[in-house]
Amino acid sequence: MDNLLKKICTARGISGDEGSVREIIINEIKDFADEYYTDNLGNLIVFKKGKKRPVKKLMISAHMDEVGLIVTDVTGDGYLRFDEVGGIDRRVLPGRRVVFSNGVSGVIGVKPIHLCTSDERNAIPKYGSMFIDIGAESREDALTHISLGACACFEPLYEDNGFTIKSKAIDDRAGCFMMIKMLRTELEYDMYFTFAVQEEVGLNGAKTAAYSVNPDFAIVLESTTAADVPGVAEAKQVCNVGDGAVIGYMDRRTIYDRGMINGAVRLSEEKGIKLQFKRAVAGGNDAGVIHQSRSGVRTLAISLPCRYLHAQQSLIAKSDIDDVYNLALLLSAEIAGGRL
Amino acid sequence: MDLSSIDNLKKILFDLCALSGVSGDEREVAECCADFLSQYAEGEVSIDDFNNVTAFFGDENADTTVLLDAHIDRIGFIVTGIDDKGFISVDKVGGVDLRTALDAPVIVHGKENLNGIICCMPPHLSDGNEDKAPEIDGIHIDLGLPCDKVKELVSVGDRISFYSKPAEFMNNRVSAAALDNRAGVCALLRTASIIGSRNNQHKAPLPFRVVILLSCQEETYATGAKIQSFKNEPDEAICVDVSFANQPGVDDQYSSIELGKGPMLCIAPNLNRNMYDAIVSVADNLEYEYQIEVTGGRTGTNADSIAVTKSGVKTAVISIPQRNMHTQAEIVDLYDIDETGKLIAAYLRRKCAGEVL
Repeated sequence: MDNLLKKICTARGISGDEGSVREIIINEIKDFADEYYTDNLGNLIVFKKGKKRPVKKLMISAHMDEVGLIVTDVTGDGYLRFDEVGGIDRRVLPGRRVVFSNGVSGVIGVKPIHLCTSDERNAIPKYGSMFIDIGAESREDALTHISLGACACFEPLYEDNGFTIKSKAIDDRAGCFMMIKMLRTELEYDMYFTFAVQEEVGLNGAKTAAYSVNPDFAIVLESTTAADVPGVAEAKQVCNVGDGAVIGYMDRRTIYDRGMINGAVRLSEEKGIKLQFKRAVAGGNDAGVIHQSRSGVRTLAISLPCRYLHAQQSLIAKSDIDDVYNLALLLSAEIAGGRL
Repeated sequence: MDLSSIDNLKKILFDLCALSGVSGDEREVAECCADFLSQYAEGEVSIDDFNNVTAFFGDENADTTVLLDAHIDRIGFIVTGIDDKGFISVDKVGGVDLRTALDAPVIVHGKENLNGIICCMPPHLSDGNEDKAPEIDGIHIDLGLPCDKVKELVSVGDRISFYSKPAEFMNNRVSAAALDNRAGVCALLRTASIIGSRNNQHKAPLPFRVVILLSCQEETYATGAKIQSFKNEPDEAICVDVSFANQPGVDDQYSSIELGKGPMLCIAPNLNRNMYDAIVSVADNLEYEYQIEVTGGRTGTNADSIAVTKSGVKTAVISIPQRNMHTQAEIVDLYDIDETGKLIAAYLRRKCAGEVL
């Protein structure tokens, strides 16, 4: 299973281009699912029977897509202009290596600091004046390998040092990983699992997936912003890597279901699972569209605290994966069994 | 290893770029280079107390000495502290470009090599300063290890290098951290493979003394070049480094320097014009490609120090065109490295025929 997280984190799947991630997931779950299909947007919707029929219909959701870059133009000299897909702070781009689906690599260049004016030396370039350099000699040369609309991923660098994992796309392949793991266990109740597309560009996939599944309850498995790094005051750190599963009362898209929050707190206390509350109203995730689906869905996001989201290297603690997984599995049985 | 093959040249270059060697901590890369030079050098190959590598070629008793210099150190950081959560604070070693720092993969060269990340904030919690590069005080490194483990493996004074896996791009162009100046080192290894007669009885050693110096600490205070040029008292020196090629944003004289069009031969007030003319004439005769770099002041290379050693050294600078200097995204063209190595060997060969100067 450890290799599985590496495999899906290092796979390419920028919003709107999740096909190769979906193929990997289908291969991992097809022998354990009772039904699965890919919908018109590209969501993978999976149904698995449990030992018992559920009292409440539950959907667990995670998104397959990751942030990245898309080629918008090629200059006469063969440099690629690009835009962001999903929210990226431009400060994490200069100097980074990116790769395309055909194996072509490039770097995001910067004017050598020796030749910069004092203003340029401290300025992060705007999107129009940052370029991917693939070594092409001209526009024609570049276009033999890369077409407009090509998606560039951060070069995958995955490391598990026994305590933490560093990788691109932990947001939200870690959620996908946990759902695959659940699908491969024997469940107490029937449940739906949705591997959603296009979360990073407006929660599009989860919207149609929730419509199709039409659940009573939903649990969203996500990665959320841990800011527990030097220079950030304790009160502003949002959540802490290593302190367990993260739940919140509210973020920028959702006010979460109080009954589900209480259930999560009770289970964490009963079972000794580490749980922390998100200490900021920040960010948002697929819960934003799921809880407003049809006539409303009772929804809770259970998240992994993750540093350096939306960049080449994010970081999570291995112990937090266990806490999120265990809490989600217990809470799902409570919900589906009608005990909440 | 036959360095006339571009594939072999790439392999040794990628091996060199993967090694540590932030200024003052060059032992690992020095040993690799010394091993490599031993297969060609007729004279002694050694590493001094400062991590300078010297390899002697030609007639060690000759009156004339030519020094060929390329620095082996790379820019990076030095550990200045470890906080109670295990985060590492740093200062710069050399001219690190902090615009490329946030979220950058780094290797902390502690008791073992440890992968780290330079801390940053996600866009969701942005401070609104997206247009501004961080200051050095804001640079912290996260190893993702418990604090006691960090303190066990890392000490104040350890070096940190940027990590980027050496990669091949289109058109023989390659990208890696530390191409400044492992590209120049690689060019001198190529020269060594041409001039060196050890293990090759069909080659005659050069009739003068040639010292290949792979120097330490260029990115900080040019210490390696200063002490070894003092020691070896060269009559002439050629300094091999990287210099600027055209790229977006570069609009001065470097906008006409291209990758893959041969090395850059430098004209500067402190460089010897006769040597420049001789190198140009060798290149012209052999139809080797070259480009001309003119600077009105210092060259910004070891040549500035070598030229004023003792009573003075006639010095030339040959540079490999490079993009994105002092970042993890440095790019050079393998062809330019090969041409640089060949041009220097051809210059020495012509010099031994007595035609030069």
